[in-house]
Amino acid sequence: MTQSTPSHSADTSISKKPRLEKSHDLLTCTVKNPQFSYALLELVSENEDAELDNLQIQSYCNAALRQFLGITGAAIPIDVLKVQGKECWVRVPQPELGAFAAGITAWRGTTEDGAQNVLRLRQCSDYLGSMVGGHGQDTLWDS
Amino acid sequence: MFARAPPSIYQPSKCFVTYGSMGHIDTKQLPYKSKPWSSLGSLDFVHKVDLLIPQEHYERLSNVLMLSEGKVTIDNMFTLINGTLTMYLEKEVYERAGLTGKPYGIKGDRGLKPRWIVTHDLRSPSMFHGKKGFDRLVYACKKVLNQPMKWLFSDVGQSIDSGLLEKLSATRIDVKPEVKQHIQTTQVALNMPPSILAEGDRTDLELVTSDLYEWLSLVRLESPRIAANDDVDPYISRYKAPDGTDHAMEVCKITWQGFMNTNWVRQLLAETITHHSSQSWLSFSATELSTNVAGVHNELMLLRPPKAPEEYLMWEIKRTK
Repeated sequence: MTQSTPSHSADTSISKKPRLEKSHDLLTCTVKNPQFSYALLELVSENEDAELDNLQIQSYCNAALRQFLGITGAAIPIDVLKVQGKECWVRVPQPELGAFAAGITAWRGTTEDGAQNVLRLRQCSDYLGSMVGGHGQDTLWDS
Repeated sequence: MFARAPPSIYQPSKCFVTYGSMGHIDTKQLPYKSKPWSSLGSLDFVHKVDLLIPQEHYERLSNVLMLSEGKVTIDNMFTLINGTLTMYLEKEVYERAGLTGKPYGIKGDRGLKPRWIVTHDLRSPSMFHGKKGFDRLVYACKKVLNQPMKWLFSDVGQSIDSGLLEKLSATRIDVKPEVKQHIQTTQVALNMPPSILAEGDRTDLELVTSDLYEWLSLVRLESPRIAANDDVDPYISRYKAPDGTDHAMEVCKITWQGFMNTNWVRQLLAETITHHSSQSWLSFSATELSTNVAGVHNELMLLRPPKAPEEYLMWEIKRTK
């Protein structure tokens, strides 16, 4: 935190300087190279009660990417952000998103206890917040 | 080869970041032309609004006015004004609920079916889990007062926006705030480092704000990765929260989901900012209803840093055409 005395005084001196009542921009930028992309995955399974967990997601994604791109695919780092029932939010490096999505889509899935499991890519974006904000819009129309 | 191909699976968006000062806010006369108000106004229909505030400030902010569907004299009806929950109940429901209340109406005119009124101050110190009165209220809500209700609500001091309500009743969609309390996380540095502003360093601004945007998004997602005690194996996730302290912090999230117009959202933001303690931070986001095939949502997210009540950091996510 920037609570120490020198930084705090610098902070106020900047914000106090030209400001009166009017609003104004102090600094702007455009995010050109987002570091990560995010994807919402859904488990599609013949077993209706099947749910996802952290390890399963990693092993499914790993299998899918290995099948698609071999060792290169298996090396794509995937971070599991949240798992809830059949849904899962993951993070991948932005340049790898194309490969990740293609791998997941092309994956034939696994068979566990006679039930076929595949992953469906529901949505992806460079900005997690807008995905979170848009999540659940379907329920609006179905209600 | 494959790995470096530009993503063709979604319509790319751009993120515009602004750090600025919003000046004094007069909730009676909101500015329309200046940021962040103009940015908010440029959104289409709003689908979801998320408000994040530190947990300890939640109870003080709960000046929200709520009104359930129904008539005082006929149905079971509920109102919530300045934290006081008032329930107008039929005799039969009142008896089943097991709450203490008073008869309602003029003496002598109550007839054979007296109605009852029950009042609870939800902000009083006794209104916590474990206290008798509160547990009894929770029990009553679970067992007796459990029919789905339609709610109208408005922020304090505001008359209910009739345009919004017209739309709501026409489409039969209810916008009601949903509160998620005690989201566990760590204390992240939310103030803009003064060196970035002093030097006008855009590269650093992009880095710092990208991390902050990701963290705030994870809070909205209620991801377990941001919790102070999240010790997930690096094989599962290598997410690291932005710099700060390791101290635990609790955040409260209030979500409005449905179909809202930007005037209403703008008023909500203004009321929230003026009523919230100037020492504390808050984050406000509004996501557009997506009407395009790709399902891309335009969004605006705003962070008011702690101890800088007139400053703001804003992210605008826009679909590139």
